[in-house]
Amino acid sequence: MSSSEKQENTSSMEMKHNNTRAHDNNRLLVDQAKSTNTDQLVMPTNMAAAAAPNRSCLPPDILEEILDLLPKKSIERFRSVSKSLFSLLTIKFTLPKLLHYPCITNFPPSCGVKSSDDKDLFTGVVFSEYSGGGDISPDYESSSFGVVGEYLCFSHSEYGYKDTIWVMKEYCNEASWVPFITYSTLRFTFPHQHCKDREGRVEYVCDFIPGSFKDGRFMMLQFCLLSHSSTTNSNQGKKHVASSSKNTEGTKTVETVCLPTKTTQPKHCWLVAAVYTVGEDDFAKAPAIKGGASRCSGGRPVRWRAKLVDTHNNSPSPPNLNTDNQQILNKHRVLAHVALLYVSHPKSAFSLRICCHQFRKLWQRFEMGLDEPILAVVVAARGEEATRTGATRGRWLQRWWRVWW
Amino acid sequence: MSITTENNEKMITLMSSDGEEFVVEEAVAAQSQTIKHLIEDGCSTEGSIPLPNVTGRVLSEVIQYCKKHSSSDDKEEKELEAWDAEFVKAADDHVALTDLMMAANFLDIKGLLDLVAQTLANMITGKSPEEVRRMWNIKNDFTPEEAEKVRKENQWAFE
Repeated sequence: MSSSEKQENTSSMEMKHNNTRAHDNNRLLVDQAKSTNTDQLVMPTNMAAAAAPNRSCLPPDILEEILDLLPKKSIERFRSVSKSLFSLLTIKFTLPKLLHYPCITNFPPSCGVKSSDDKDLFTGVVFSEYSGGGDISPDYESSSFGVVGEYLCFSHSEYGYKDTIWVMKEYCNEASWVPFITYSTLRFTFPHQHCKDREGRVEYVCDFIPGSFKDGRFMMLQFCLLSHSSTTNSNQGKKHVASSSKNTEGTKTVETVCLPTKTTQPKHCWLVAAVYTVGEDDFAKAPAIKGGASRCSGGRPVRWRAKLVDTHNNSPSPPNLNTDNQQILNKHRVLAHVALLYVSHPKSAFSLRICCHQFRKLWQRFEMGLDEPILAVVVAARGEEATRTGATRGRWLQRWWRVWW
Repeated sequence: MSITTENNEKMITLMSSDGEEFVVEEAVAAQSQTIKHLIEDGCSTEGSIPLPNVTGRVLSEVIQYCKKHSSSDDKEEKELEAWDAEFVKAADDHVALTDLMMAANFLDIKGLLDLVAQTLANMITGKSPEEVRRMWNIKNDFTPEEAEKVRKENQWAFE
């Protein structure tokens, strides 16, 4: 894709974002996530700076060296210096704390996935306090997981939705965990819900709740580490050929993409995590969420959810990876787990704490080589406390995480 | 260019971005991992080693640091610490320190990088966002509403 095309697509994306999310109270953080530019975090704004040749900008790695040595209070205060610094501090300090994984502090900002034409697509970490939930995939009922995909979309929105979609497809396997990412991306890209492929065919009709973005019901503190390397190029030239199976379900049409499994092998762990809040009302009123939630709360495995560690059974039981789950993982060579840590009661500090603990245990297992890498962790909370205002909910959860990690 | 002294010490020439040349002992220059690798790759035998990211002024400071640290052993740790403190003090201000830090980063001299980073961190600790912006000419790209929101989110840090 040429740079002008990229720009055009970017503009297009941004326009769509604006349309879709005009009422979003958390726009700021979304924008910040999108605008993370880790190449030039501190730019000179006057002639004096320009006159100092060695100090034309303060590269992020230099800045990070300094930030590492600052007390917490200074770090928090410096979030308001600039958007880029805000992003850096979030990436550097909030994410590792949330994930409790020290190596994350050293991840390269430009690590990522390359598209078929060898462009960097994932630019590192994307952070936002915003997202919508929803059952975005009629076939996969991925209510909680839709949110993960949106971050992928944010992360390379600059490349335009088409590339985003198609690269996501590289990771698609008809029965793997990946499709939700694609669907979510599409959903985000196409507010009117009709998603078309490059030839203009309607490819997905996403089922989501239009109001979910606007009314502030859905609130999320989400963070996402993308540490993928490129996929194999063995299928070069073919990977963009879509659709070999089609599934029609009422008004929903899903055209899945079947790609050879070998194209879906990431070389590294891909870690995505999210804190997700949904109000009680949402569960009651929103059909798609209700559907997703009921499946979660019932603890019944549905196709993709069989791969999850679902702890939402109203008791703080430890995660249970049963044999079936493992078989599915093995069968599809999924290299990562998706851990769904679901908080059943918003006011229950205990239950969220348990979630943190469980994730920590999962992660330790991975570190010890006993488990597959964790693909995603979605922590969901619901209830009165979590539904007041978006910002309140975000802060509320942030505080918990800060305290317990 | 690589030459050998009477004491059989190998000397190499470093060239700064502004064309200044510094002839230093290889052991001193090798404090920099970047230069060390260049030497190992044979780059020092083909004339001076160009360091396009470091000015002569900064390079002279870096060399001063490397000389001191290559000649000191572990027993002199305290003395070295005191020397380091004076060294960064002499760097005068955050501009000079930032230049020094960028050079240390480019040349991959961990000790110097840590030293300057700590000095800069001490310098900015307790400073307001506005002061930090002024220090490094950072543009405040928050809208007033955004700034207020971020500030509110981190209110405790301002109290």
